[in-house]
Amino acid sequence: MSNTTVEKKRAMRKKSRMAMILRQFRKSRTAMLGVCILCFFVIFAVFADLIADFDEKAIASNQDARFVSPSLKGFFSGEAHIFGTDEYGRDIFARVIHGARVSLSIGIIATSCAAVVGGLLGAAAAFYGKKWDFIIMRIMDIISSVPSILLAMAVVAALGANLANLLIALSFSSIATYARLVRSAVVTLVGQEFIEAARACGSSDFRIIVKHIIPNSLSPIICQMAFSSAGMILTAASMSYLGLGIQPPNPEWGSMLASAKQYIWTYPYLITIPGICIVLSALSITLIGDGLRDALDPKLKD
Amino acid sequence: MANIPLIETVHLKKYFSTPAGPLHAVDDVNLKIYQGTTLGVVGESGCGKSTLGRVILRLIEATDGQVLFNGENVLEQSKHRIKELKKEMQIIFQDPYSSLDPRLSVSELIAEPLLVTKSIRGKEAINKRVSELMDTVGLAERLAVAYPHELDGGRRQRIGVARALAVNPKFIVCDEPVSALDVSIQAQILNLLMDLQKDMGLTYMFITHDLSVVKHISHEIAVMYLGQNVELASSDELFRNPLHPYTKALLASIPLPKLNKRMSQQEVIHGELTSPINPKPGCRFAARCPERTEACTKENIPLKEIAPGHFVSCVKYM
Amino acid sequence: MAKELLKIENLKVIYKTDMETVYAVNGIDLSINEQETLGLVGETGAGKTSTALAILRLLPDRTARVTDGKIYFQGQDVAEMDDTALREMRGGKISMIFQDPMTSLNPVITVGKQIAEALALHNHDNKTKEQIEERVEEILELVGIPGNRKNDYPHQFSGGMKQRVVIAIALSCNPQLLIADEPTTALDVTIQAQVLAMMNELKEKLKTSLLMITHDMGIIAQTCEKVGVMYAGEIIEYGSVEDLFEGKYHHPYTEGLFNSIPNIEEKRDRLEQIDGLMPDPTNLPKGCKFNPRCKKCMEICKEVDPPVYQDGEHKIRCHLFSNVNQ
Repeated sequence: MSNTTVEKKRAMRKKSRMAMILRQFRKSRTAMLGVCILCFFVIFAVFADLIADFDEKAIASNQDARFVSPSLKGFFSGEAHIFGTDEYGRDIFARVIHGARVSLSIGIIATSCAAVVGGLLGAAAAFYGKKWDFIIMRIMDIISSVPSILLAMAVVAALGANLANLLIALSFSSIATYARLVRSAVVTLVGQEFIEAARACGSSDFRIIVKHIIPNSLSPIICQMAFSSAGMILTAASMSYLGLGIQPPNPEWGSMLASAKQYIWTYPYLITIPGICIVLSALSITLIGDGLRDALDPKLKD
Repeated sequence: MANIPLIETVHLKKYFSTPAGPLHAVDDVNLKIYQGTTLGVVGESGCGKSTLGRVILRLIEATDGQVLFNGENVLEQSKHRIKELKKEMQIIFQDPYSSLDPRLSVSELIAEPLLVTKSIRGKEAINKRVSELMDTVGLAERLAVAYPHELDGGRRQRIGVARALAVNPKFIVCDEPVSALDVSIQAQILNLLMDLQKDMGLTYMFITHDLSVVKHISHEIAVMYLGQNVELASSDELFRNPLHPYTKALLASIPLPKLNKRMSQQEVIHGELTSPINPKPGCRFAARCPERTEACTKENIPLKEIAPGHFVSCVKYM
Repeated sequence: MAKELLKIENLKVIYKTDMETVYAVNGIDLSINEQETLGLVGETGAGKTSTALAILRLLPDRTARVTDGKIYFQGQDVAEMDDTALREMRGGKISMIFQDPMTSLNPVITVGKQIAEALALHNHDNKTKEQIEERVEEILELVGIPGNRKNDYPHQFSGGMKQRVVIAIALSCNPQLLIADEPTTALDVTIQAQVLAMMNELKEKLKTSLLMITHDMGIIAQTCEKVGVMYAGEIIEYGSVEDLFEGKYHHPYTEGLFNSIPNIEEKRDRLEQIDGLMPDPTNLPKGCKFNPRCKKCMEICKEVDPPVYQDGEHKIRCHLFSNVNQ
C-alpha cells in the first residue's frame, strides 16, 4: 500500500533536521579527522592553566635552561620540556598551549564579529534594495579591494597593537565577504515563491526575515565561518609575525615564529613546532568546513 | 447570483519600467467575477495573467485603475483595512516546490496564515483548525509532522490549498495550481477545488495556460494576449464559438488525444509572442494573425459585446 | 516487414545510494523499426527517461546500474561497444533532445558554431570548413530558422527557437534514431504545436526513427505509430496508437489516464481521478505494481505478477485479461 511509503518516510523524519545533518557530517572521514585534531587543540587550550602555569612556565625567563632540546626526560616529575625551551629558557609546550588559547579565540571571535556585522549589512542591502543596496555594497567593494592583511595592518597601525585592536582589524577586513554572501543568499530567497506566499497571507517584513529568510540562509554562512576562521588564525599569526599582533612576551604562534626565525638553522624545533600548530589547526578547521558544506547541502538529502 | 460582482477590475493597468521602456504587463483589463463562480484566465507565458492575479491581491501595486471587492476599492484602502481584506482574498501558487518554506513542517505551514492574521488565537484552537483543514483538503493526519520535501507534488499542492483556505477567504486566485502536476494528480486537485467551491461557495480566479483545464473548471473565460483581454465569454460559448483569431489558434494548438487529425505546418499559427514593451497601437496579435487587415494596426480595438455575455476585441466584429 | 533498428529486452535499471535502492526500470521490452515513431508515455518517475539514458549508456555511473537485459542497436549489443563505437553511436546514429532548451545550449558559443561542432565530430566524408558552414545554414533552415542567424548567441533566441536549434543540432548528423525527452513541455501551447508539426514533417523528410518520451497523451496521438504506457518501471500496455486510442481492451491505468485528462470536446462535471499516488520506487508493491490504485483490483493482483495478454501487437500486462481469448 502507498501508506507504507509514508510510514517509512515518517520514520525517517522522526530524526530531526539537526540529526540528519550530523549523520551526513559524520559520514565524511576527513571532516571527522578535522574534528579530532581541533578537539585536541581545544582541550589543551581550555586546560592550559592546569597543565602549565602561565606566568611561571610561559612568560618568566629561565637562564639556566636556554635552548633545551625536546625530550621526554623528567616527564613524570613534571619537569620535562617535551617541545624544548627557547632563547629565554621558556617551555615551548607551555607557550604553544597558551598560544592555542589566543589563536583559537581570535579565530572564533573575529569570525563571529565579521559574520554578524557583515551579515546584517548584506541582509539590509538585499532586503531594502535600491539606494541602500548601492551604498552598502560599494563600501564593501572598497573594503575588499584592499588586501586584507594590508587593511588589518592599517587598522592596527592607527589604533595600536593589542589583542582588541587585532580582533577589530581582522573582523573589519573580512566583513565584505559576509556582506556579499548574505546579500546573494537573501536576494535569491526574496525572489522565492514562498516569501511571496508569506506576504500573501499578510506576514510583516519582520516576521518574514525572522521566520523564513534567516533560517534558510544560515547554511552558507556557517560554512563560510568555518573556512574563514582558519584564515583568521593564519592572518593573526602573520600579523604577530610582523610584530603587529600579540606583543611579546605573550605567547602566540605567529610571534613565536617571528622570534624563532633567527635560530632557524641552529634550533629548528623552535620554528617547526608553532608552524605545525598553525598548519594543523587551520587544516582541521578547513576539513570541518568542507564536511559542513556537504552536510548542509539540501540536495544531498533526498 | 448576486448583482454586485464580488471582484471587479476597472481599467486596471500595471506597467513595469524596463530600460527599453514601459512593459505593459496588464493593460486596461475590465473583469467581473460573481460570488460562487470561477473566472478562467488563459494565455501564454508573458501575457500578464499572473501579474493580473497579484495586482488584484495587492502583492504588486497597480499603475492605474481600480480593483473592487464587494464594491470597495482595494487599491485605496488603508494598511489596516488591507490586512482585513487579505483574509478575504487568498492565492494558491503554481509551483508547489518553491511556494512552501522547506524548513517548516506541514502543520506549521498551514498554521502560518492563522498566526499571521491572528484570526484564531490559542495553541489548541489553532491545532484544531489545522487538523480540520488537513481533513478538508484530504491530507492524512499523520502527515502533520512531515516536511514538504518528503511529499509529492499533489500533496504539496494540497498544503497550498489548505493554507489558502485557512482564514476562510471568499475569493481565491489560483495561479496555475495544477500545471506542475502529473495528469492523474492534476485531476485529483481539480476535483478538490471544485468540491470546495460547491461546499463553501468560494469564488475563484483560475489562471492557466491550459485550455482544457480551464474549460473544465470555469464558468467564464477571459483570454489574454500581451496584457490585454482579447476575448471574454462563458465557458461553453467560448469553446463552441471562439471568435478572436488568437482564441482559435490556441484551441487549434492543443494536441488532442484523438487520432483523426494530425497537426501540420500549414495549420498551426506562426510566429511567436512579441514583446509587450512599448507596444504599438492596434491589435497586439496582428503580427501573427492569419486574418489581419490594415485596420488592425491603426488604432486600439476595444472589447465589444457581440452576443449577450460574449465580448471580443477584433476588427472583424467592430 | 520493416527492419528493426533498436531492440530492448528485459531491461532493468536501479539507482543505488547508501540509503536506498530505487527500482527505476523493471524489465521492459520494446523495439523500434526504421522510420517508426514509438511513444513512451507515463507520469513522473515511471522510468521513461532512465530507459532513454540506458540506450545511450548515459546513466550516471556513480549510482545507476543496469542489472539485467540487453539493448541492441542495429543488431549490436550496446553494452559491449567500445569507446569508439559508443561515441560513433551517440550523436552520430542516435541523438537525444532534452526537455529544457535553456540548459542544453552553451550560452557563450554561437548557435552556428554549436551545430558545426556536432558536424565536425562526426565528419566522415571529410567535409571542408566551407561545406560545414553551408550545411549549418541548411540545417537551420530545415528547422525554420533563417540561415543568417547562425552567428547569434542562444540568449538572442526565444524558447521555441532555442528548441528548434537543439533539434537542428540533434539532426545535423542524420541520425537513424532521435530520442526526444519531453521536447515541448517547457514551451507554450502555440509554440508546442509549431515544434510538433515541424518534427512530424522532418521525420518524414529525413526518414528518421523517433522515440518520443512524454506525459501527454495528446502528443502521443499527434506523433506516434506505436505506444508504450509506462508505470513504475514497467510497460503495462503496448501497441499501435490505434490499439491504444481505439482498442477494445485497456489496462486500468491507461483507462484512468484517459479519463483524468480534461477533454475540451465534452463537458463533464467531475474528472474521473485515479486515487492514490505513484508507488515508492524503493519499495514497490507485490504483484501488479498498480494494484493499490486500481479500481478493478482482485485478490490475485496483490500476489502474482500479471501475465501479458496479447492480441496481435497489442500487449496488456494485467490479470483482467487472463481469460480472454486464450
